[in-house]
Amino acid sequence: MKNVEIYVSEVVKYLPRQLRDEVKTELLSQIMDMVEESEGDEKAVNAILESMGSPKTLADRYLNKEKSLIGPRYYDTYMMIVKIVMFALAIAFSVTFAIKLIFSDNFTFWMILEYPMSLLNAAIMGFAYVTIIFAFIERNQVKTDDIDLNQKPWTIVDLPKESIDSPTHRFENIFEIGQVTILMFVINFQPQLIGIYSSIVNQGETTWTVTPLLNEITRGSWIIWVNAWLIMLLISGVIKAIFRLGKKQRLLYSSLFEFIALVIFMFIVITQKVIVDNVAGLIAPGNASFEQLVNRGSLVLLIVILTLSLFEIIRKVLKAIKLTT
Amino acid sequence: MKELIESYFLELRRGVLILGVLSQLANKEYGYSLIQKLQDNHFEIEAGTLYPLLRRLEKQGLLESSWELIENRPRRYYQISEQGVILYEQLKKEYFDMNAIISQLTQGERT
Repeated sequence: MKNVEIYVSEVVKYLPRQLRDEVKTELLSQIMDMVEESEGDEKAVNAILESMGSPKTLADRYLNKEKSLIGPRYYDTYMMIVKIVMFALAIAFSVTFAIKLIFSDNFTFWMILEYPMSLLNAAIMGFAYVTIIFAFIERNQVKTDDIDLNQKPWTIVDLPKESIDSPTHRFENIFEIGQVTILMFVINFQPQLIGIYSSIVNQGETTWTVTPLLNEITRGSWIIWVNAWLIMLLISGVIKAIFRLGKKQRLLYSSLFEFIALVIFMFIVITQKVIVDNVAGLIAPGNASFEQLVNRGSLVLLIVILTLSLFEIIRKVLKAIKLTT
Repeated sequence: MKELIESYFLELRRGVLILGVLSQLANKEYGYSLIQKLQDNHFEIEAGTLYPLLRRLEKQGLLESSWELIENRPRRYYQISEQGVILYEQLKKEYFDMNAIISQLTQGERT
């Protein structure tokens, strides 16, 4: 009988704490009923336990959990987003590689070799990010096989305002996820490309210089926050691709992640030194009035972004509330 | 090919599993007695499939359960609830309707 107890303990090990005691008592009693009906020797007990399946499999059945990282419900969307991300990365890589080739003074063989290697590296990272996001969504999804007897029948009111396959909707998603991916790639892999491009003509020969705008000295502290901000935007884009247009979940979840992204963005702006000091001075050295204009302009721009984003989030939440009532 | 056929059999059986279980719970039964009752009627179900299913159906309000002490050992009994009866009747109707359609479809094939 020792094996029975071990088996039951192994099963409940995979269950949430609040379920363990109840399942343990019940399962033990159920197995003991079966044991009593059998010959009762060790061999028969072991055969009973084997017929129940592995403890992990049985625990999964108690949790009603299918063993898949990304289930059929989200698989198509997942594949679509993986393709968008891969496509965006390929474009971003090709463009940045071309820029590097154009503005580089000493072209080497290693630069060509670096291109596929970095592309592969970024593709793996992009793939991992998207998979992690989808695995999280899959893990937290509402179980579709829960039967709700009080569920209202479908009426015309439930019809979405726009078809999910609308080309505009699809283009918006591709564009949004694509631009976040490109930005993520550039900030992580080619940060030096975000800068002020200037040319100097010396003895008839033009040489290009790039003054980076991102602060490399403080990079260690801001890069995590900038990535967190971009991941929130990516999640918001993925949510929009999953839920149908006009669905309240789409509005609520996407506004929640947009709000988190906005909070992180404001945190970055206020506490982190992402941009190098004296940008105006780099563009037009010694021009005090231009410097003042840039400083004031940045502040105004920030307030406009904050107001518009908050307005958009509130509008979505109100729309979701309207859909609920 | 054998594995493929078995997987389709499993899929077909999975659809009628709840119907079979609910049909035998008009009176209260405990896990193993239910397995035996189903097996007596040639309805094969593994304990590892039935026990979690009973809990899930109970959680969904389709079954009611009660603990009883039998020979100093606690035993959980299950019985169909009012909601369970509603579902059972609907499932049964759907099953017989589908059965009639499939019979009609496959009859043409036989002749």
